[in-house]
Amino acid sequence: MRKRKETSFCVVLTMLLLVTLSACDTSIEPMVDKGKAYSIYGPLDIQKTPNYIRIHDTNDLLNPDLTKDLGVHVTMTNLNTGVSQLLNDEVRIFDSLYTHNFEIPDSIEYDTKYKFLLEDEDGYRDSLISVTTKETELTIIQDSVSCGELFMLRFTDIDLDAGERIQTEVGIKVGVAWMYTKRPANLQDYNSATNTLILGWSPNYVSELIYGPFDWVSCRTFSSDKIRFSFTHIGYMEEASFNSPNEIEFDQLYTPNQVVLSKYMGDTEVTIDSSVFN
Amino acid sequence: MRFGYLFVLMLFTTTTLAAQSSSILRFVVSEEGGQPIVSANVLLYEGDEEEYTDYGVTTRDGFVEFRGLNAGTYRVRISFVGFETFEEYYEVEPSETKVYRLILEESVGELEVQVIGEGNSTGGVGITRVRAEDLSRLPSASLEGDLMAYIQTMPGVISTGDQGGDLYIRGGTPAQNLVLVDNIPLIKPFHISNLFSAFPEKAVNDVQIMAGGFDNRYMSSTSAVIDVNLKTGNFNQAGGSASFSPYMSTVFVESPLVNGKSSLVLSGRKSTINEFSGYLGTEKQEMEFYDVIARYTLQGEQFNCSASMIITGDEGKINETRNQTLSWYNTGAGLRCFGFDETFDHPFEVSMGFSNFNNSEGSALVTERYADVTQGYLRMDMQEELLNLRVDYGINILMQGYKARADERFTTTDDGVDIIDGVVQLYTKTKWQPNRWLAVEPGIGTQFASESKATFEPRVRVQYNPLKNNRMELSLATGLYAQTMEGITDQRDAGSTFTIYRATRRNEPLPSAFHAIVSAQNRIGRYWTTNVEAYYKDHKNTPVPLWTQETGVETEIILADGETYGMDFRLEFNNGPLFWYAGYGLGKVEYSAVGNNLGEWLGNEVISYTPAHDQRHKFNTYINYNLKGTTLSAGWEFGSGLPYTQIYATDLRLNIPDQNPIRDPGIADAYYDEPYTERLPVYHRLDVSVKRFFEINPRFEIGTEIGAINVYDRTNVFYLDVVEFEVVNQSRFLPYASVSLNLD
Repeated sequence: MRKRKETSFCVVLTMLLLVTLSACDTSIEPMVDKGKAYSIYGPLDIQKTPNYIRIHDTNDLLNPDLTKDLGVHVTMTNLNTGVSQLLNDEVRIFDSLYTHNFEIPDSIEYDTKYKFLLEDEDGYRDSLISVTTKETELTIIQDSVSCGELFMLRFTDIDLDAGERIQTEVGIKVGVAWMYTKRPANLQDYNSATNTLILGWSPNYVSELIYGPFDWVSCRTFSSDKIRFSFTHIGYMEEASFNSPNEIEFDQLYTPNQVVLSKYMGDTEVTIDSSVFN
Repeated sequence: MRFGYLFVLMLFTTTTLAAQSSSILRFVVSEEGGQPIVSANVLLYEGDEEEYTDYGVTTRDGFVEFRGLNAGTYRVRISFVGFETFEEYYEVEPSETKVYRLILEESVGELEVQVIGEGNSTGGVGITRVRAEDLSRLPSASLEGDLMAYIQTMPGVISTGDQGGDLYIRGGTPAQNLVLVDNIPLIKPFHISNLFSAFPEKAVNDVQIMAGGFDNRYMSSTSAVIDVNLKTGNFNQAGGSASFSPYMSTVFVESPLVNGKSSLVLSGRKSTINEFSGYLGTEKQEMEFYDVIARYTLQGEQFNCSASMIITGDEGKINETRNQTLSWYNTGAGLRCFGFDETFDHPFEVSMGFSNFNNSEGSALVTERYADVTQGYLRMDMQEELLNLRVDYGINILMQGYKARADERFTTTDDGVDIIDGVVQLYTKTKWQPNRWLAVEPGIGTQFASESKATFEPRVRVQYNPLKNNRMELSLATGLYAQTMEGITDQRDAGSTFTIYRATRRNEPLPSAFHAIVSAQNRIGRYWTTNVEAYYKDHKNTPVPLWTQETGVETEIILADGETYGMDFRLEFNNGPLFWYAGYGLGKVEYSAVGNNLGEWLGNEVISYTPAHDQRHKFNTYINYNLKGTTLSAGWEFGSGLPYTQIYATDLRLNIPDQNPIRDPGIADAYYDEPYTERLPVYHRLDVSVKRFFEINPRFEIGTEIGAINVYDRTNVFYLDVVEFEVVNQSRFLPYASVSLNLD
């Protein structure tokens, strides 16, 4: 009887030991405790409504199982008018990964400063200012060109010195397909006093950019006498400010990605001199 | 190079100085089936004298030799665990060499513990000698022991998780280990499940695990050597077995081909874990592995020859959620002959063969990276006498071909690897024994690859019995080590074990190391053995990844110095039916910069760090008890947390303003924090098994086993996966039941 009691005691003790051992804390901290830091990024498309900017918690493990509620408020203020609005978080799921995208329901205006302010309940604040561009006036300086001549385009109200950019794309038709290149122009002339930019390409140059210097594709073998041109005029940001309670200082090797840029697009066509195809 | 030529000249000059003027007795000791008995103590007495005149320890061939004998009658006494003590008289004439094959008879009944005679020395500083029976003492999921399970109980041996097959031995990396199987060099013959190696208990005769301080016979490693001696098939009687468990199916056959002359062993195992994991609520494990071992042995009157072949294969995932499959394969074959003919002054050994290792990683359909090493070798190990000292010397000629392609992984191999390199290794060593209680074994070796400088590798091992008996032995070993092959792996990513092997480049120094080990071994009473070893290893020119803050970018490899030091404690109790072992290892590994730095983090230079295999504390214990034919085994292991690198930040990168957050998910990015500043939680695991064999008739028995891995279902963290952004855990509770059919 006594032996049985001792055996039972040993079994209970062993079970308790095993339960205790298995219950030990095994969690690890995957992320370094650097304080809060958010990425804020998105395009402000002046020609589309609504727009979205994404807020990403850089302490989020990017694992669907561990995706956290963001817990922040984002306010957009039109600094030209002083009107503010609280943006709503629209969660989008990509392959079960949650992303937080804040909707800007109103249209974006030209030549306007927008301030985005991120705040959370702990008093953490991030802000950035995105400056939209003026609407440029595009003029074709020379409409009809020969193969070696430059067709010239003039843009007004382009403030490259402030940080604005122009992305351009030129297309030619060979066979049934339009082929495009994003490579720079052969001519770029910017007047910072008048904020005027002149760009120029020759049909031969565009052909070389796409096909290389091959005889079998040249300006004369294009299947259309039109050259298509499109551009994207991109705004810029004033310096972002971090106002974390932790007063973290980010080194240049790592900074949260805070890029909100306006954009709009435009296009036109130029004509290759018909004598080229005769 | 000049040093190499001098060395050759010196080697072969010594052989011409040899002379024989006295008698020699040679013995080859084996079991009844022909299996050599390794490490048996052989005492030689003059006639009926009480005090022995000489002693020896049998080699891997069961060979022992006594030289310098006067004509007369000698008594030989051999004691070995599990066998009846052997005692017999032999006569020798003047200037005569006689060879005898001795067969020991197995003890009847319970195993008796050997009462150790005087004067024998383990000579084992840094070396663990393992017999096949030792492997069976641990809980195993396949009814027979496995070398991997045993190795992992050793203090100082670290595996960073329960998958991947990588072993870090006293600070050395897997690429700094040398594995020899009947002299065939293999790379990582360990399976993707760390429960198994390619060496099951039944296919192995004995293994020497050398954690450092090894002698000049082994010239291709800067850290550790695992020397496996395969089983000799039974020369008299055919036998076999087959077993099945949820982890592994096995088949084993041994048979004489010509009775008493030649035999064949065949062992094949294939994992079944892929099919059975996921049952009974256990986790699914996507992995497959197999191994095939064959050995043909020919036993002549004056020689033993064997032809061995080994094939292994592994394929699977370390992290189930990652779309990345790892695989590695080994193929090796070799011939080995040991000659001890009376007409030879000294025994000699010749071996030759080849091996091929291939590892790759990629998605299920596409191999993205691969690395392939083919090695051919011709090796001769000989002996001579010089100034009354036995001198061992030898030459090993290696041809090594390397092929690799590792696009977008290692910048140093952007153009791929496709080279053939020749390496010549030479060594000589001797044993100086001024008295019965002190032995000094100095040696020297050199190796040179084509167009590279010859290395200079002096080593020495010393054994001393201060109490003038065998109960206490103090030993030390020290020396220089180099290797001409290096392995490159991205240690930052524990989810991949993919390694590129290549010859050290001409303009770079060879990986090298300095070892120093001291040990004290003590036998207490009849049943207890203790061993304490303190070690220091200083590795030079170890390839490590350059630290960058961004994860997932191409890895640039730089050279680092690695310093390792620690102490291992072992305690064993063995009274036959009850065996208990406890081992504790205390160690530290640190990598530091060579010349420049180990990378950058936030603009600061990384000068040193403790790598992922820096485990400070490791404790293992296991018990094996045979109770009336039923064997109970339990093993518990504990390890302090291994270092890991935290993630500093994540992001979902979008190209602004071209991409749209509503339409495009972005590319997941992560940034490392400073390397290895944090440690994983402690690791511990209990495995148990109960095993019994039922005799159906004297030649046939059925074996059964039930058991479980990780009995109390501990959640042990494996690593932090910076590709999948998740914490990967090791295996949870895994119960099993195994059955085997055995024909002796």
